[in-house]
Amino acid sequence: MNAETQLKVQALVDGELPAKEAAQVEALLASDARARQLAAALKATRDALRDNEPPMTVPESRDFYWSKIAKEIERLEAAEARPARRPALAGLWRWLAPAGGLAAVAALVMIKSAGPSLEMALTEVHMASPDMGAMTFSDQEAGVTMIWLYDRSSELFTDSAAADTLPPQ
Amino acid sequence: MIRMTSAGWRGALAFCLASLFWNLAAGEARAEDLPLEVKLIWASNDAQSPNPKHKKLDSELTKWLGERYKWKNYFEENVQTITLKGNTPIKVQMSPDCRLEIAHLGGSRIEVKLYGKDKLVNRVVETLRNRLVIAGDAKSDTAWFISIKQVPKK
Repeated sequence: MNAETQLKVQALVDGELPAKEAAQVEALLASDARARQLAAALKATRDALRDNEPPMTVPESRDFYWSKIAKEIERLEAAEARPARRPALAGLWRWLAPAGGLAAVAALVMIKSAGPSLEMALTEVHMASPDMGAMTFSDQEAGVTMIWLYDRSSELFTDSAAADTLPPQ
Repeated sequence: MIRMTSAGWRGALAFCLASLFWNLAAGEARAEDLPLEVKLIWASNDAQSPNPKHKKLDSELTKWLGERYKWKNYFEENVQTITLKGNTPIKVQMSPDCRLEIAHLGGSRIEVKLYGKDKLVNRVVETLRNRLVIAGDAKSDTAWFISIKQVPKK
């Protein structure tokens, strides 16, 4: 078994051979006891390396350690600084909360007391059936808000007896 | 967590409650009587209404309608004057099939529910600075209009 054949056996063990060459080498393994021994030895070595390879750790540098320490110092300083500001803000908040509520209630009262000028002037139209629609038009000059309903049962609202007597248009 | 003192909370709560009661009381006071004129109008191109009881209308409203809609003649089928008192809704029968339910929501806001053959057709909430007109097509190329407007107190 020459060196080229040994390399092919190793390539087979590593799964690197194309199908055709792999079939040839497997045929060789079937007929050649030395080739089988070599393949078995290579597989055992591969398995031993794969299962027992120690984890590689990268040593941490001095700068890396110092940066971790610096970050921790910054974190602790920030945590200590926060409670110092709390009493001043709490004192302000004690006045701001009722003042804010007062402002909100005052605004509500002003809007309600101001009457229609500040009331919602929008026309709300809600249809009872999805089969019906409404078109809204407001003529501020004439002071008319028109809501035109379009549906299939508008004849419900007229004097149907009178309407029935009308000739078709 | 920032905390407000219990005295502060009590003060704010008392103020809010007082404001709430004051607002409710003011709202009740504002829900005063609201007189309305409600009119059912039938629009047609015929010169005469088949119903002799119908009165032909010649008003600003009919002029406004005539300029915007295809019908030449407008007949008054029914006109009623109602007065909304407080928040109690009033039912107004406009024709055998058409009924309104009108409620005063405070200020100039009213809610109008339109019923056809006792079935709710639509609900409108409107500020009555304007005349409110609800309308639709009717049989034989005619149309109906319901006009609601605030009238002076008697």
